[in-house]
Amino acid sequence: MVFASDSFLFLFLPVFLIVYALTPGAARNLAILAFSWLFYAWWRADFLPLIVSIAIWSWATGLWIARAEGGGRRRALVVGIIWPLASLVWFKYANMFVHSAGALGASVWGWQDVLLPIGLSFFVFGAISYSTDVFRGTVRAEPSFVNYATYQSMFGHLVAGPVVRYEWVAQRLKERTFHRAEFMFGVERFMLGFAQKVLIADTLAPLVDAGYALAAPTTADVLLAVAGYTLQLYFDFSGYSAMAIGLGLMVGLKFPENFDNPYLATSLSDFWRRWHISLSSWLRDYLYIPLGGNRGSTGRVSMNLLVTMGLGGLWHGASWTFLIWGLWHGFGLMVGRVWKTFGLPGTGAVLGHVLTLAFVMVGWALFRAQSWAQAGVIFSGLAGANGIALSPAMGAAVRPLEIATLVLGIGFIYLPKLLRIDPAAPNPGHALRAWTALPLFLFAVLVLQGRIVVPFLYFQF
Amino acid sequence: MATLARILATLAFLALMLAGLGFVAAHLAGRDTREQLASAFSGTDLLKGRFTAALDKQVIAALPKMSGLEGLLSGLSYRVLGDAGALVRAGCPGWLFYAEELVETPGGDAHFAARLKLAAKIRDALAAKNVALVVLPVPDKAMLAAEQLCGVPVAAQARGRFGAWWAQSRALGLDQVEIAPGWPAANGFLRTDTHWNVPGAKFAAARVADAVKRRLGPGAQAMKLDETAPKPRVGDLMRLAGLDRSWPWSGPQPDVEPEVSLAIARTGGLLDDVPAPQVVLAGSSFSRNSGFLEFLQAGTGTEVAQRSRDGSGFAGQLLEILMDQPEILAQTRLVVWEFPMRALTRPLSEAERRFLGDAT
Repeated sequence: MVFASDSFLFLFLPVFLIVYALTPGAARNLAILAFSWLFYAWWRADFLPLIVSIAIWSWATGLWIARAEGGGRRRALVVGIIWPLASLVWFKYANMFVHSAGALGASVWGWQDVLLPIGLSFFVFGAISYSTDVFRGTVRAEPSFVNYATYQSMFGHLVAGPVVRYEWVAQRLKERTFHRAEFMFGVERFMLGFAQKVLIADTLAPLVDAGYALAAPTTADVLLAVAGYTLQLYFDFSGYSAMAIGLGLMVGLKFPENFDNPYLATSLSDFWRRWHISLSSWLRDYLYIPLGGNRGSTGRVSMNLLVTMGLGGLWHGASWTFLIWGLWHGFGLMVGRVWKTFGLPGTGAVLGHVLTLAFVMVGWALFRAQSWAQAGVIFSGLAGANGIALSPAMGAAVRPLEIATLVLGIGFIYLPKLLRIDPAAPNPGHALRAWTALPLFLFAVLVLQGRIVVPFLYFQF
Repeated sequence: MATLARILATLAFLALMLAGLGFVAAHLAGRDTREQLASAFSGTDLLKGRFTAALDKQVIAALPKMSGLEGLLSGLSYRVLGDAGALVRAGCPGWLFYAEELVETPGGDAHFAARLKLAAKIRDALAAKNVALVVLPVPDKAMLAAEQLCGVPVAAQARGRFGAWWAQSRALGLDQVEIAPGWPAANGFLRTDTHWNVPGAKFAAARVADAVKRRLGPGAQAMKLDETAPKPRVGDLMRLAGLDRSWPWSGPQPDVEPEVSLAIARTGGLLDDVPAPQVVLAGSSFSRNSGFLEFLQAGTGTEVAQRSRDGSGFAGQLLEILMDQPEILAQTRLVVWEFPMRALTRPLSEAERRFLGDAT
């Protein structure tokens, strides 16, 4: 089930909120947990045991890690991590390795592709961070399975993030009271996230699909498609994150912000401080720093960056194109670091912003490609192999509404700059958001209904 | 002020959700809904998510349709942005075009090549039954009424479809009717519909009638053609664009067209038995619109059996006859096969793959 659906809006969420409101305080986590598992089973119930088993495993080994001493503590950590990690490797990467082996002539006889359970990557990263934090002593092991499983499975972040850490919600899982203002703010965040997902991201999807479907795109075709994808990805993912944050607030759980105007970044490292913050900080704290982080020689630090970003790329999807995308960013961060180390002159904010955006967009062009062949078509198109001007094929495929949405999306990206909203202020842009949330949400709900009707009309032809 | 806005938004949000839940609950309590859900309620269906998929459909069905507001949105989008939805493009004022005629279809060249083979197989199948074939490929509205596009781009694949067909299909030796030369340009099409209008249908039917008469000779059945006074006709593209529901100011005005009818004076035998028509028209919605069949019958002086179907595409209806209802052709001397040329580059249908002997 996705948030931007009728089943969620008009069946699941209202029933959940009613049950939650009627449940006594002590049992409210149980209500969240039951509905979260139902939410997951809505997709396919046969994968629910996997999710539950990881939750049980991490909770039990967390207690073991907390009680173990000396070398036993590290052994407990390894055991705690191994099952979630093995699940992730098997379900997410087995197909990729088998297909790659097949391409090299070592095919696996009788191989049946493994279906990837939704949300597994987020779930596993949550489990790993919990085990590691208990090992490090930064959090206490959670004695209640219901509390732990609620943290792991809360439907708000279960299938599309953000990557929530136990320490962020530990206190409120144990004790929380209803705050009207917080609930209302949660509703507002949910409505705005819903609107940006439905009105911008989903509207741009056909434009992107059209560009990537062209057999011989021109430079302008690729630029248009990649610009569309740059906005689609941001508004889709940050919209989902906003909805997750909003849902969390409705039940008194505070998840940190996952995006901070990333397309206003003035350098690549700045971009990664603003984009998918829960993942980038996870990679920093549980991979980059354990690898050595910024300590050591320039060569060592560069290697740490490449490994971290390469694995981070692979986390996004089981394809070698994701690995190369991660390495692309690792390379960019490495160059930026070396540049600074040698004290070379800075680029300035405007040029830095333009260069960063161009670098990120080239990365997105690869990120969106579904195969090496498609990536080849896109990059040769970008290089002008099929001409420069917009092709009639792309012109015919793109709707005026999509172009208008693209312009609107760019406007929203730069709105904080134009309105001179200070992101560090306590309530940046709150009045504007508060007054626009409801109309935008209602408009999005209406658009969502209309989108369901269109395919039906087509079949009347 | 922000707090007031937030209070109002929260109340409206909760009210909307509860109202939606009320509609859903009422719908799910209905007997038909419960029966449909019960049919998808099994252990396997639950495990594989099929039950919840069925439930999702019922939830969608439960919610009231806001066609008035959707129409307003479509109309505003058309008026302000010149946008006519995903499947339609707006050309000159009042003119709509089917997007399929303009865009590039991935794999379109391969589909086109497969359809050339399909046409050869259809030709052979009919020849084996001793049935003559007259083919009417209908060019795209975007080509014949190109002056009404007003700058809407046309992909090279779509633009080249017409020429490619005529260049490559000649080798098949088909008896084809070409209607582009002399076509009354934009005056032959409806503004708000993909199809030809009455003058266009009349023009095309006259060309086909000439071809039929060359093969069978002129018919002698008495017929009386009639046209009503012109009246508003909401085109299929208006419906597809959601502009049929909109306020009159917000969308194009419907076309104004007469309806065509034909009365055939039949003379039965001793037992009033009427012989089956010897000509069969197996085409798409073009054959069913604007009096094409009536003009064809009037032009040939012969009764024509209408076997066309909306959405037939390239050869959907003809293949259905050949593969599933061959008895229809038992007394048939000639088949008129009409198809829209935009269908040439579409992905092959299951029936087309089956007829080609391609099980994939």
